[in-house]
Amino acid sequence: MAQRIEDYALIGNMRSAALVGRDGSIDWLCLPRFDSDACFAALLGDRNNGRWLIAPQNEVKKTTRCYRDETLVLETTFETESGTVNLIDFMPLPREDANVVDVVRIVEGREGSVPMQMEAIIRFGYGKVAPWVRRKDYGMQAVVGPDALQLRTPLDLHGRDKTTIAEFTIKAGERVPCVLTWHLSYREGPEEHDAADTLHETERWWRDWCSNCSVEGEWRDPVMRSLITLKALTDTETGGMVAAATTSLPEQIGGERNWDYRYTWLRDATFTLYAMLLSGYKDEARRWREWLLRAAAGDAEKLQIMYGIAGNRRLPEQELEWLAGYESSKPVRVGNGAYTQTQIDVYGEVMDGLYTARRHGLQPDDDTWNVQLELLRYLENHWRDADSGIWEMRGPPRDFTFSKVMAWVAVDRAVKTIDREGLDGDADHWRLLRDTIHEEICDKGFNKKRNTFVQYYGGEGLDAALLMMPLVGFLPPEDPRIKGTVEAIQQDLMQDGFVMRYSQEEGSDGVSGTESAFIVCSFWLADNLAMMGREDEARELFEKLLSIRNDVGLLSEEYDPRTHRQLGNFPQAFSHVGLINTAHNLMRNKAGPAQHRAEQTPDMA
Amino acid sequence: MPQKIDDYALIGNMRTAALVGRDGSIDWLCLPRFNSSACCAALVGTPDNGHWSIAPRDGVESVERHYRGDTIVLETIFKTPAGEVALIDCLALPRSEGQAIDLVRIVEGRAGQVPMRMEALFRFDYGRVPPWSRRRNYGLHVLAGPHALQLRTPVGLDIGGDACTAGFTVAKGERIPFTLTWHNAYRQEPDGRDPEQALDETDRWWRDWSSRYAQTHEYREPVIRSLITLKALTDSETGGMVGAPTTSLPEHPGGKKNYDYRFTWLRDATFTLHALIRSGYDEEARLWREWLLRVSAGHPEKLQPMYGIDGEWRFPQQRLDWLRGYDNSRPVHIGNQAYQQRQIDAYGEIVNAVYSAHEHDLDMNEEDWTAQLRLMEFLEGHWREAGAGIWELGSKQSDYTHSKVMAWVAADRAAKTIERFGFKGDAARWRALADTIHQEVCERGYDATRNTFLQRYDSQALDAALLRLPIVGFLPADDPRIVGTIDAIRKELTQDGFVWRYSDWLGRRTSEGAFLICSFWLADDLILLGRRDEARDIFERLLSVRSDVGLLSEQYDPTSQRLLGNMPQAFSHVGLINTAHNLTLEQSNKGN
Repeated sequence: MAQRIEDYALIGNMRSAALVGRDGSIDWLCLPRFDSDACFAALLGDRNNGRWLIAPQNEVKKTTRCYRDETLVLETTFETESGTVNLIDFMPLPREDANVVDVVRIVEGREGSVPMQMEAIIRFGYGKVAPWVRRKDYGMQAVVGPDALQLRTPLDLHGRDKTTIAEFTIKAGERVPCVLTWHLSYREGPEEHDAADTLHETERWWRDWCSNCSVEGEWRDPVMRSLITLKALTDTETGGMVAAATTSLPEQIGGERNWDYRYTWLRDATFTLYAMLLSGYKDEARRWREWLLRAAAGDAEKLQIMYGIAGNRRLPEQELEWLAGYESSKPVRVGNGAYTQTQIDVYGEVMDGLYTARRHGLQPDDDTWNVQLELLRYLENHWRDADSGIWEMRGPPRDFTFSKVMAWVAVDRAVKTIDREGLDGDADHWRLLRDTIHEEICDKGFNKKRNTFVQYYGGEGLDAALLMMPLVGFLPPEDPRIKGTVEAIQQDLMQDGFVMRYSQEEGSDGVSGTESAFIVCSFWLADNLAMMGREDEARELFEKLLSIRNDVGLLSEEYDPRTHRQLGNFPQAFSHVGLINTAHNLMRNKAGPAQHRAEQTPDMA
Repeated sequence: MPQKIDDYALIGNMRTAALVGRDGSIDWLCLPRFNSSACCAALVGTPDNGHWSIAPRDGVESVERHYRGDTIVLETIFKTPAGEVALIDCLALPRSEGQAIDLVRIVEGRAGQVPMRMEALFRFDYGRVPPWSRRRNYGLHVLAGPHALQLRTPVGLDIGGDACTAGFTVAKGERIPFTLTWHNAYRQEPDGRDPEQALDETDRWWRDWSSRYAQTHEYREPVIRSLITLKALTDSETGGMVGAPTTSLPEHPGGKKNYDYRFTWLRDATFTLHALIRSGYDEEARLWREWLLRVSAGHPEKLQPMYGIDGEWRFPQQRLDWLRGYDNSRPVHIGNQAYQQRQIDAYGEIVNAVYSAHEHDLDMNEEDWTAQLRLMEFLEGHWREAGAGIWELGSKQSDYTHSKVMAWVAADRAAKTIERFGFKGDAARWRALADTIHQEVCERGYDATRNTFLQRYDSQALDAALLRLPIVGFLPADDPRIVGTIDAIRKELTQDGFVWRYSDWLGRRTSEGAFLICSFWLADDLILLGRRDEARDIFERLLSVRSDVGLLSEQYDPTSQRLLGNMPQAFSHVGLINTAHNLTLEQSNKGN
């Protein structure tokens, strides 16, 4: 059985990622890309679905973990009766040949002498297919169809029940490497890279990258860890970013709300762009803009809310019935049917992201603006359409207030781009449309009786996404309607101090079961409080959120305050984006970026 | 009304393939691989789903086509009142570096001065997504998501509208090139490649490859064309072979039986292996053997009837609702659910193929044999289980006689491999298994009243797959039960020498075309019976239904005289090669 979600740590190389448990077992690894089939899938099943364990043979008295400073190199320290040992795990930077991926594990003796075990159970195709294993002078090779894995190690390996095993003892000062290298089975196996050299290079690369971060002060550490995590979830070749490294970690233990997040959502990715720019990373923003142009190019009508990492469009959803699911949360899904949904808000997010990029000095170019104008023309005719909303409701389409707000954002940013950046366009025309949308939202999306904006036109329910309204500058934070909305959310959508996504009755969103607090929404609440000048409350909430990060600083999508467990896919970009933005808001005493974003709209209706 | 399936010719570079119509339009093009999404999908939709045509602007009086010598370079000659022009099409050999794919089209003036028109309309993701087009100094650059195309030509292009068009005139002696290059949209644009040089290299490579076929006989031309086609359908890097380069060309026009064949069936690939070995292409056979080991070793219990070209094992079927289908044959499918079927005959195909590789001195080793033994151990415990059979009748899990016969083949060849080639193992164990299966098949798969073997143990239906019984040596051709089976199939499943796959219990043939490889099997059986003249008759009739450039699809409808099903189909060309060899070679009476 898999461990608690927060017991996992991420390692990655910006092409793929793995989850390493506190027990020294890699229980999730997709090769060669984030969205490839997993060859270790114990996370969603049991050890027979594939895992790679390196750990002491005898009882571990204490386990501590950390990332090596400002890197994605993980160090797990096991203390045992007979001594202490370090396990250093990382994925080296991609080789020149994109079709080779390495995972390196180095066992390092610290004290005494520790009997260790290594157990590699390779199951390709998400834990289903055992490979054809051959002994090699460097260790062993496992092959299934197009996939091949080399396991290089000086350890003496033997096979038992489709499992590769080694038992060895490590003494203080000794180092033993185990290097797993994926390659295409029909090509020559790649040459060996020295484990110690790659460790050195990988560390240096991450530290270099971190040194470009403009954030200083009390929250540099959590912000830096979040930035590293976002970077690790961004494909270095295509610029596409996955929302999380996993699929089907449940929103509710034992429930069916299990989705595949190894895709690029326009929403999550533009939010990430914003957090990156805020922290001084322009190059990532530039790459993301190129990605967006390729994906969105051609036909605004066919803009999807999400794409594959390379910009591919079809992501049909399947259930993997042979996996028992994380703590029996079935089904396990790959692909994501949400790719066919309409979510009007993505137009707003894309327009806002590109506007922000320009404001941060990213060279404007005509191609981008032309695509933007096309999106805008489409939106003009479709902003009134009902949609599935930001939370990807699988029920009937509705007029979600947040979607309309983001339509307003799209048009607002167009007006500003024309006004402030001097690009070609009919500003007056778009100003008119912007006012029309604003008026309609204030009319139909606001419930006077409750003095709050509501989830959808004519409804009564609340929606934490409405906390974005002042952040994007739809209304100022001190507007009574915004104050009322924040109050309503604080009153009705909170659970033990954390914010839930929306008012929920069983099945109201088209899926059975319920969920816990949605982490990014709590960050939004902190942003709202900060903008209203309620600094202390904001800081208190932020620190509470920091406290639920796991031991190595990672957040999943949701948190259950009753059981104190992280839930949902892990680690999740959206949550880390929230962390970064709120930290920025709090770090700059008054004119935080949330206010900045709002202040970009002085000529608002 | 689309062109006939017969009107499409294949060009290919062993990574992907395209279909070119007689009208000069490329209506099917998947990039960068056989199983990638198509950017020209007019074949299974309308011209708006993507096409690239080059043809005289008006007044075409006649079209003549041929491949240039023993190559897969296509030449289409248009005659018009203004003159004559040749369109030379080829997918260039893959570049030595990078993943770029180049499709070269050269317009050559042959006589007079011919006004021409080019129209390129690319729709990515199977005819759905219009790309973003930009003018470049070399011509046109388009991109959509991960895909990008360069269209390089000296001709001035009109890029404004939906399609990119060009009007130009070609005079006698002039050669005007168009090069389409696919590349990863997120990588640097590749350099252009000299089209004439690419054409020369490609032409030379194919001639060289074809010249390795050393046999001379009256059917050399159709055999070479079939070999070239099989080679073109085989991925040069992974060794996997597609059943056909297309999806959803209908088995029945307007019907629903439309499947994606851009996968590697063990059965088709092993048949191909036989054909290649007998034609002297050992290197291809070796590549295939490695492919086979990679997909099957390690987990014999999960052997699938089919895999992806690289050996992928999961490819769920999807419908592409936006395509109206070839001749309104909906739905258009991608992926193929048959991967989940159990087809017991696959085991027999594999063991038989490896056995015949031994027979031809291909260096098989202990590793191969260990993998084989694992398959055998699995088969020993499972041959009695029902399966979907050779025709992939997913809804009818049953005891297919042909599947059991192939289980017998597996056991028989396993025993022989030990006996004849000295591999370690228990020959008696496999011989005993073979005998048990043989006995059961003769008891339960044979109908003494009608004196014929049957499709399934529990059904009265006939099945053309039973024609393989004497070919694989299950019983001699002159055994009365085999003679009876051949007679029954000729009576019930055959029209004008063309054989249908199977009948229902009332003896009615399926509503599809005649299945071409079954007709070749009938010819093979007749050869084994010593009735060579009859066999030759059937064979020559089969040759006559090939398209003008020598290609066969899966099926043929004698009534409308049209080819049906995916095109060109490896299986049919394998049948052609084997029967030609049976008719002409010394060892022909050995079969297979």
